[in-house]
Amino acid sequence: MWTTFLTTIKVNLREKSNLLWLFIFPILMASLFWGMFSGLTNRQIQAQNFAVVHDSNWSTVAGADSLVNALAGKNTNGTKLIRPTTVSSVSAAKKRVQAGHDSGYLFVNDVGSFGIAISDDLYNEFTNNMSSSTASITVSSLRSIITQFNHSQTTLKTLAASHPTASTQGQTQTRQQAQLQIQAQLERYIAASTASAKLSYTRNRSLTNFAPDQFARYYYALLGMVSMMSMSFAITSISTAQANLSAVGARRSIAPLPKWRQFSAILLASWLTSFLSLVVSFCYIRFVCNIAVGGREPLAILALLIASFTATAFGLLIGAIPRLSRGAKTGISTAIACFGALFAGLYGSFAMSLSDSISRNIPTFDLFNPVKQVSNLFYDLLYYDSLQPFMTTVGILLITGAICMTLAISLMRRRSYANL
Amino acid sequence: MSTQANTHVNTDENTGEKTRTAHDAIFVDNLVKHYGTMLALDHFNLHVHQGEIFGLLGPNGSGKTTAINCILALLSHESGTVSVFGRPMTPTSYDLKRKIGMVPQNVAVFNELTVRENIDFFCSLYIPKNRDRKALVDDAIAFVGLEEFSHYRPAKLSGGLLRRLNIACGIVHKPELILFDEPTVAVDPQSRNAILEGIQHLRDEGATILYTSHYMEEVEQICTRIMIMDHGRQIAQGTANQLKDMIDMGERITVDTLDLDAQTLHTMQALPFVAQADFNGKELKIACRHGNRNLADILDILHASGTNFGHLSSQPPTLNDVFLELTGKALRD
Repeated sequence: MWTTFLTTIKVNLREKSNLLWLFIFPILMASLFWGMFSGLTNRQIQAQNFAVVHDSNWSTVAGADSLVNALAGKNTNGTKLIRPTTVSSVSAAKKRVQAGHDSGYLFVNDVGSFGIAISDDLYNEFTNNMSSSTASITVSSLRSIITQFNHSQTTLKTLAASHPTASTQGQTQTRQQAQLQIQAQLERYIAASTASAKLSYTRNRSLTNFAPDQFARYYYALLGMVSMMSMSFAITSISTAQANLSAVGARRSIAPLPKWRQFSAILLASWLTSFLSLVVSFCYIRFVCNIAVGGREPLAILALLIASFTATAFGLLIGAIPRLSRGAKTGISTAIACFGALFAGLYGSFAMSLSDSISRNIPTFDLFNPVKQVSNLFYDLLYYDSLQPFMTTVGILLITGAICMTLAISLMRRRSYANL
Repeated sequence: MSTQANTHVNTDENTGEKTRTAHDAIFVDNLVKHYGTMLALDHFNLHVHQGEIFGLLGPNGSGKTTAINCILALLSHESGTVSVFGRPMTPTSYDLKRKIGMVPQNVAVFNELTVRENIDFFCSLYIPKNRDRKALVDDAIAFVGLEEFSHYRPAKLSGGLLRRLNIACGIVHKPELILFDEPTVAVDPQSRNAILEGIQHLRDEGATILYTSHYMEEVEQICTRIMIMDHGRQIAQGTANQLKDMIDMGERITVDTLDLDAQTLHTMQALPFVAQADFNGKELKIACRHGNRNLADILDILHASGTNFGHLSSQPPTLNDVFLELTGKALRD
């Protein structure tokens, strides 16, 4: 039995298609995700050289200098969006831009609103590569801040004009005094809220132990798919142990090693190799792609053990089906993995929305999707403080595995056949 | 036609039942096996004595492989008995299985394992302890002459070497009974000769061998007794000579001559032992029935008619003639 166990592991690990699909493919997929998602999560704002036009219009805007200082990161330790150079006129600013010294310029127009002009190069970068350029993010931020500044300024001016006492808590004052109050109000506002170019009125509060990661679900779905693909280990192994499935199986069946011992060795070896392939994928996802599991790595390993058990049980069941070629069985296992991965959300935001919709509206469907259940194992670990959801998912997978195992044993318990 | 030329089955005078003798390695009695509605084995009987090489011949689909799989308890059967070394053979007869080796028709090895690993694995199904296996594996590798290929994987072996690996996996545990199911299919003459010599060597070491093949000459060369089966039942059994005696065919005489006249040809065709005589202007071909003086009588007629002739040859009937006469010349699947 020991030799059968070792030989099964050896055969599983030497089969080229197993190596490709269960060890290399998951790493390639995870790398692909990493390349796609890390670009979105790790993108940093890059400060741009900007000219600031200090002409006659400039002084009409209350808080203009404070805004520029904030954008340059001078007032606070916030994010630096621009490296400003003061010029006296728009034409001077344009010359600097044309000479390539600056990427654009900030100015105040005739009606007292802030404006932003950018170079052709920056414009092209912004329009052609909007989602991936760091410079385009800087431009977007500048536009957003200036739009918001103009809006605030307009609101306060309107307020001062219509309710001169609004900003002085009921004290009577002249229009000039009111404008000074507005300017002071704006400067305080800018100093307080543009510290990091984040003009936000909300505050982040985490409701879970671990910071949510919107992209982690894709990696979890990938682990779910890989776990179901790893059932091919069991399919391959059981095909070579049944007299009605292969010539090698017939040869093994006439040997004096009892069937239950061969079956036990195959089960353990297939489970181990399946687990091994998942551990490799998990380690890559966890430590190279840096996808967290809520600081619960030991439980994640337990999850891999459960997932590989269920996959092996599935594999034994499919592998034991008589009168189907090994290729057809491998095809069935791939179909289960790929189809299940669709409803687990692996194939993009549409699939993820579909998966969420199914979970909300027909949760029973998820019970029959082992890929979804395996991805849930890790989701449960990351998002829930309690272990109860995790244990529920473990229970579902164990019951599924037990049912498959029972059916597989009933198919394999025959010792002689009507046909070979 | 069904002939039992050399039976070793005792029949109980009171009950009429056949009983196995002490020296039967395989005893199959009245085995019936259907595949759906198709009758695969029709009251099939087989008795293989210990220490002999028994040849099982039959056209494709005659039931040879089915019979072997029933003997090995891989296939279920509707009625009849199968005993090996005097004990009933069942799927859980592990003590009996330990004594049996099987070389299947298709090469049955793991492509992911080397030659040595394959042989060791199949040996481990019979002999669990690693240290007990090493010498056996070495012996098996040497027996089939695969020493220099022991670290090769099957994909790198030629057809002949693969067949030899297939044999090594079946005999590595030194079985007392070995079933060879067409082991020389698609093998070159050198490899075939080596395989046949190896099988005889196994017999000399005490093994009993059941050998199936389509190649009449190799069966004739190595088998002590031969059974021809068709349509799932035995149609003839005996030694090669006994089988040849069963058919109504004697020697084939060929005479090279240019001046045979019609009268002489007619005289020959009228002879009672001549089944057929044909002359094509260069060669006279005569198919004879059994007889002790066939050639002498033909020569007498040639001399009497003054016919000049050159080369003359006489060929006794072959096993192939027996096979074709007993199983017919119609093509099989």
